[in-house]
Amino acid sequence: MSFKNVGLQYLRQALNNPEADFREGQWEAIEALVVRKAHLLLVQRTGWGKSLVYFIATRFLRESGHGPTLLVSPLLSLMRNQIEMSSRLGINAQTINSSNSKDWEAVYAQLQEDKVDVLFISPERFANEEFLQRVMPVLSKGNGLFAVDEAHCISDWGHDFRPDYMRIGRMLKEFPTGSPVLAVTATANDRVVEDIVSQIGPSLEVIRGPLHRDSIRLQNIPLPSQAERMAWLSEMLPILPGSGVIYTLTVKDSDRVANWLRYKGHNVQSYHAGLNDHEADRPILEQKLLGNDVKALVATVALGMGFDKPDLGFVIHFQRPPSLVHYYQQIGRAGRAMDAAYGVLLTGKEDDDIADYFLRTALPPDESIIETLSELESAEDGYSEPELMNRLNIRKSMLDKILKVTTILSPAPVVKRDGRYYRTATKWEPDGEKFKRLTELRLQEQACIQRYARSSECLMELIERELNDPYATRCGVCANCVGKPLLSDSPKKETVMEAIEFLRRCDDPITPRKMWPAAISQTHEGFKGKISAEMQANEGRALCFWGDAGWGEMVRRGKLSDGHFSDDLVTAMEEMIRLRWKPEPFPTWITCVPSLTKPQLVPDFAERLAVKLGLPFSQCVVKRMATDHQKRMENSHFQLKNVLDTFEIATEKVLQGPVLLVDDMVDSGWTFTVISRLLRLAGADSVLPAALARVIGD
Amino acid sequence: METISMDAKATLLLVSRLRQKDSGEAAILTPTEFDTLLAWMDSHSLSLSDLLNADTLTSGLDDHPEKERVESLMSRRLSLSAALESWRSQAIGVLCAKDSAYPVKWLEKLKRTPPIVFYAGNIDLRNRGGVAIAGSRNIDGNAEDFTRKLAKTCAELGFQVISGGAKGVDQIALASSLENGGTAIAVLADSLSKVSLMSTYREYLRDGSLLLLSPYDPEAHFMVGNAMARNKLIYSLADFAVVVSAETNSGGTWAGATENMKNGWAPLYVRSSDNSKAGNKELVALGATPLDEANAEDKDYVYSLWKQSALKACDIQETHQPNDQQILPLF
Repeated sequence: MSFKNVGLQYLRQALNNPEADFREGQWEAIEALVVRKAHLLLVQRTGWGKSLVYFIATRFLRESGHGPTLLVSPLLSLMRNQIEMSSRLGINAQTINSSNSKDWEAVYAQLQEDKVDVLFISPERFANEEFLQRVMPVLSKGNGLFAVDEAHCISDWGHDFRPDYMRIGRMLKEFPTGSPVLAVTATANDRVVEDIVSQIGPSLEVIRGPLHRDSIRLQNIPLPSQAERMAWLSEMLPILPGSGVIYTLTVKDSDRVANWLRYKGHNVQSYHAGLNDHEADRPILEQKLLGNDVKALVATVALGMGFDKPDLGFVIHFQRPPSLVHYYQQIGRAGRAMDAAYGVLLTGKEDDDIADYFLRTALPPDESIIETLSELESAEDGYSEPELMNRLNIRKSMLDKILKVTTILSPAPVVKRDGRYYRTATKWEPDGEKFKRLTELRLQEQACIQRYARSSECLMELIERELNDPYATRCGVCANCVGKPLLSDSPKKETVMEAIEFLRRCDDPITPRKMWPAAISQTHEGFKGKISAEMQANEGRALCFWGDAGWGEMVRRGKLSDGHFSDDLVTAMEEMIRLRWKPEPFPTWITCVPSLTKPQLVPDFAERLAVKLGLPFSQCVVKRMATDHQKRMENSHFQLKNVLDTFEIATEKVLQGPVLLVDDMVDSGWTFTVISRLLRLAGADSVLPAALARVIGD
Repeated sequence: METISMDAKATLLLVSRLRQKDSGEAAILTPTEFDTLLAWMDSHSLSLSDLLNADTLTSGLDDHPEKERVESLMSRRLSLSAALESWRSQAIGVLCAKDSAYPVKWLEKLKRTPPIVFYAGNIDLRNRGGVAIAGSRNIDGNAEDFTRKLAKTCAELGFQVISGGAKGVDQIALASSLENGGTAIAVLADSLSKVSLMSTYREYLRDGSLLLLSPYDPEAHFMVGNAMARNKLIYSLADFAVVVSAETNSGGTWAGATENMKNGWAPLYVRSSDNSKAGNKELVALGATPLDEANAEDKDYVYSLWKQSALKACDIQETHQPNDQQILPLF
């Protein structure tokens, strides 16, 4: 039997289909890897069968005595169809990742006995000492295939750049010829492909196929307010085929939209990184969607690359994604094994704000990097991360980003060694040009998807052209090709009103702080470790999110233009407290957080609220000096320092019983924490924080 | 940093642990085994880079007694690329004896050269010669004072200081040279990766006045044998050498100094004073030249030492050349 026929037999075995045949390019790729030990970059659409290429190549390579295939992938778990496919091919596929540590020893043992044929790992593994010492020596034997999934992540021009992939790119560059390498992606335009080739070197051959997806029907619907889009979703879900995904840009939106749809009787769940991801939650939700046990998951990008459901009926975007490439990748999951699936882009008035926010926070600002480097420069023997936190006014998440970015560069200005960070001799200067180019590119990408959202041309063709697909053609099935909306584009007024009412009831718990930040005890004696139960606040409530379609807009107007919070907000707050929150114990008096810049705004509101609730108001909290705005204070430690010395209590004004502590905004929660402690020291027996609006970061 | 040559990659696969505590089933080659393999390959018309090609590797080594071991070492491609990536990000370079940036003086003076050298800092300093300063870890105030003064004088004369980078004399000599605007080379027996992060060296690595060299993996821990074996690498880079203090018949300084005299790598001077160690006197008895402690700050005097050593270097080269030529063709 010819070599190709053997391959064909494997293909049919893998797909469990005696009639199956290679798609264009599949066999060529397998042959190049197995015979020539080529270095390949495959750009092929989702569903083309990239995993068949590495599975069948692995089968051949293993037969001829090669070591196991190493597959780098950002996914946490093996996809069901990958497991089925590999077992039909007689290939043992295993994974080592942060979520399956209990299985590691068993996988190591199998690797030792050379029983593993494909090992899936996440790119971060290469920074892990245990992986280096225990897995690499075994994997490294026998010159196996080195495969990289979602290879567009290597390029910082890519829409989904991941620092850990930089390391993969550099490893590939050092790979001697004569060892097979396969990089695959479904979403890389010319610029990204060129960047990957320039990083890895000219030995990389590029094979690119058409990106067209026949079964996806595209439509765009502009609906400015969230309430309209929520109403639209509720009306359309029953009409949409099968089950699908609703993408939101933020975690809060994912939760709120899911809550609304459930309230309207739809079977949906939210899915995001805020869910407990090392245990079962996310895989269980994925299984529910795979098994059509939910109508939809309302997800952030956390439901990401490689989620593989051939009969995914629809992908709806609740907000505008950052680029058309993101958009293509997300809708690309729909309808792979269906005749018709829907890709609907809803756009709203908050899209620009969210896009700006992500753009601003995507990269750490140069000043923060410089500050961190100069702090490390002065260290005798490096600093641990908590030691650095203590010295810098930088949020932990931002410091994490800075340390990631500075340690992943090569040569690196910062090196991590035994848990400590060291400044190296490598010079670092802000690459203003590069930053500017990247920012410009992101803005162009935003403009491009904005154009897409308004376009009257064929939508699929527009996407394909943006991805530099040489085979771009009119799809004939999108709303523009058909010439009329595929799905209704205006929700009923009653449903919209109902969504507004729903949003107005979406108050948010304020969880009391229970620990002082590690570093604060150095400047403030006694503020160490746990905040004792007698000094804590009770759980509190925020009426809405700043600027949202429920009360948020009214709060914004009150604070920024009217200088006065309306009576509607007083009533809303009173209803929240009495009808929904119903705190135990119920407050017997009210006080509020003082402000020197707007001395009347909050007390005036709190007094009216007190009247409405029939409780006495006593302004017993006094502010001693002006503080910097909390929002400018980047990390917990500095936020707390900022408020710690600011407030005091006029003890004679403290009344008996539980107190409701009112403020207009809640952000870090330290102001509530510090004042609650003071009130309790002054004899208040419990403190219930209440805020008009929560400021959202993301 | 320059790209790493194919020869260096092939050599690393054979002799380096590639950042792993355990190199897998096949043990890495010792320098002697590496030389033997090179000689064998030479006689079979194979080059190092042929080993990187799977086909020539298999066919070429057919009648080699340790074919499997070599094949197994050469298959460590993944570890190699991960190690190179890691070293590069730490600004650690790798050179093999065939690379043009490999220290020329080692090739000229040594019978057996390290197959691989790792470095951090300014590699251009490697062939610049200089003064090797050696001595023990624990020294008295006088010896410390002498070391500091001598290194300062060297710096002012533009002579590079070369040492082993260990505690005591080595580090004092380095620091004094660098602080006084001189350049320096430290030939390390271990922990290049850790030493390159030391805050005391950072600004000198940055401004190009320091070169850290090591023939051992950057992650290697201290081993007495390695420390001894790198003495010749220090002496052979130098124009002349000064021993600050040595114990008779014991310790690295004594071993290095006597080895140097036997092989004539660099003219040897020994600090002499009323309270210098017995070992110092013994070295003089064995033929080293005494250097009066009081002359450490005398620029004219130190300059004259360099001049004499430059003249002597011609003699040494003549006497040793025939011997070297038998070995050199390997590289």
